[in-house]
Amino acid sequence: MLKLILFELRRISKSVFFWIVAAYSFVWPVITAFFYRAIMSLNLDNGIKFEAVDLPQSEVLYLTWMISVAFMTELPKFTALFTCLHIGRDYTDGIIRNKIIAGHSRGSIYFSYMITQIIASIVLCIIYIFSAIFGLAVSGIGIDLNGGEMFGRFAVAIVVFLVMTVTFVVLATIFRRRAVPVILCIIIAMTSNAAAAVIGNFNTPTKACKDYLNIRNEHYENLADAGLVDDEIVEELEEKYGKDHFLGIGWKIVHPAYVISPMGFEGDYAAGGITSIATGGNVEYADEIDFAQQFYYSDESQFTLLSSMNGGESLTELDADDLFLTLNSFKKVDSLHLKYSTLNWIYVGKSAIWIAVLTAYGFIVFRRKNLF
Amino acid sequence: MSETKDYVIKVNDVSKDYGKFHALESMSFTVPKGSIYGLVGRNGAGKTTIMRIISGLQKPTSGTVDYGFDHKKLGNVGALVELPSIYSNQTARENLVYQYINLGLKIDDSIEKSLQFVGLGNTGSKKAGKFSLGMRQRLGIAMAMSGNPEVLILDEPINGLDPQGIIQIRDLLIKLNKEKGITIIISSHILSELSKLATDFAFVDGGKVVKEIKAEDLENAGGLETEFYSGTPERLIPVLNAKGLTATYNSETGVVCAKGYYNLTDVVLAANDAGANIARVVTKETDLETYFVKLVGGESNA
Repeated sequence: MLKLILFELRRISKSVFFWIVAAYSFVWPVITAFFYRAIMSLNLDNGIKFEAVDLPQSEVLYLTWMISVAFMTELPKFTALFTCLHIGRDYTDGIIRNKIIAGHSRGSIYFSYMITQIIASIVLCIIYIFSAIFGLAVSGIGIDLNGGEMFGRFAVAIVVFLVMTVTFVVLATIFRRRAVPVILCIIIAMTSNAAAAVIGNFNTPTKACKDYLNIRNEHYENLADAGLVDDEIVEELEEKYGKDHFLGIGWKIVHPAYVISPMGFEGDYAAGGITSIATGGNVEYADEIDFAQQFYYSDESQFTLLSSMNGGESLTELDADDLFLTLNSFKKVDSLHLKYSTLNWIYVGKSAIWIAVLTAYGFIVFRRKNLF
Repeated sequence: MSETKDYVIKVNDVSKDYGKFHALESMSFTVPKGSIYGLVGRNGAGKTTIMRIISGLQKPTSGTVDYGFDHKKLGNVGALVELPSIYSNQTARENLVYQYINLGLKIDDSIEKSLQFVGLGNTGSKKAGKFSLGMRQRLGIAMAMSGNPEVLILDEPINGLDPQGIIQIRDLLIKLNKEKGITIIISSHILSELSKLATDFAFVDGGKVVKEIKAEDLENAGGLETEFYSGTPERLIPVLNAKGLTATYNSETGVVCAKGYYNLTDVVLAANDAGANIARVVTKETDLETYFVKLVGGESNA
């Protein structure tokens, strides 16, 4: 198999398309860094002026992460095309027949494609990350890698990215008609960002949901005991904020996809950049995911409901602690907090399983199908 | 110690089904070592299928293929099945470099020698995609023979070539067989060309081999038959026999019939020296095509 790996690596190194993608991976993050620098320093108060920026360290930290990890959204379309065209050429030019006739096993051929495409993807990701760091430095935004911890998350991001690469390799190797994998891979690459954004919004562990709702319902009971609301309203609230209604059908459908796939990465790690900001995701570079905060901010209705229940009485006249739940109410609930150090392993594990399953599936089909 | 076998390929009752379609039905034949083995048959007879199976591209539904050498060793089987497998966006040399890497061979000046051998030594930076069909075929053959294979499997290697291309490929294959001792299995629709190349034939029909025959036996089975019209048959017959022909005289027609191939100029000069006259010569050749038609019936579209 080493011979085939050398064969494929030589082809990749001589591929014009690969070097175009590599050049893109180098140039684009630098442009992105300068773009953010320009946006942040733009002052339109008195005409168009660019002013010096002095970002707080927390923003530098987040921008370092967001711009560097953007390969997750920028590279899939290119790797999809590259993988399909690269492997597809072996089919169209009949080279795959040469390899079999020469005496290589189908397994060796398949895994040589897999290994070399994975290497190519890792190289592109690393180019992107280091180019982003270079761009952040030269643009004046600055760099904060959280004491090197960020490299751990980059590694996780690359492993998650490889699930996509493996998917493209599998599709490129199991279809005899060469146009099919190209179309499928491009569709997957283009829709993956949207899918990741949707799936990332349903990232709450089941236990966290249960704990959150229990605490809320307990709080309604307390409100009723205090005479602030009557039992009928409590019943209405409990039903309205019951698991089925509160979480909605989307959670029931999409949450399983979140649990079994690594597609929630962008949401969990705030890696979607603009997507994360637009969808109201966590846009900080945090040490942990605070699910209570996510619930709390998305649950604006608790304020207006309780306000109307009190007949429009000024809320400032009431004791806010009696009426509302605060983030402190959930602070000590373990299920509502997830450390990234733990999440890293969850994503590496999920991705490894997917890579193994997809690779095995592709291998079985590649061996059994008459593709040559 | 490995056993030396007198064959390179032995196909034993190989069948291949594609769903309900039986492409091969208990096909058996043996390819002698050092031979140029021609597979003759109509379209769909099963020639390509058996070549794909021998070269490892497909697995038979039943039956076995025995190899008289270590066929698992990289490069021991070379094949050009259907179309030449070459990177169209690479030069001839680069294609060979890839094949060398594929086979784990050392990249050295043997690449240039191979290109010279197949007549592609001067293609330089020209991409294979811009090659003529003949050049592509020759490059395909160069790649197939890179590992110094025990057997070279060629499916329709002269298909679509112009006369000059056909001659080049024919000469190349003869050179490979004679100089390098490579056994060649070849199929072609152009039976006249195949008959100039092959030392052995297998006639394939309906997914099985209906006849295996050596070239000389085929010649004897028909070959060239010539009618010599001569007023001096008693002087002509010894001359023809001396030239290796089997000559007989038909007293009723007054014609000397000779079987076998010969050089006409040599025969005429020898006859002249022997005092024999030749008024007219009529040749009737039982060629490969005629033999094939006789064997499998119907028109030849092998």
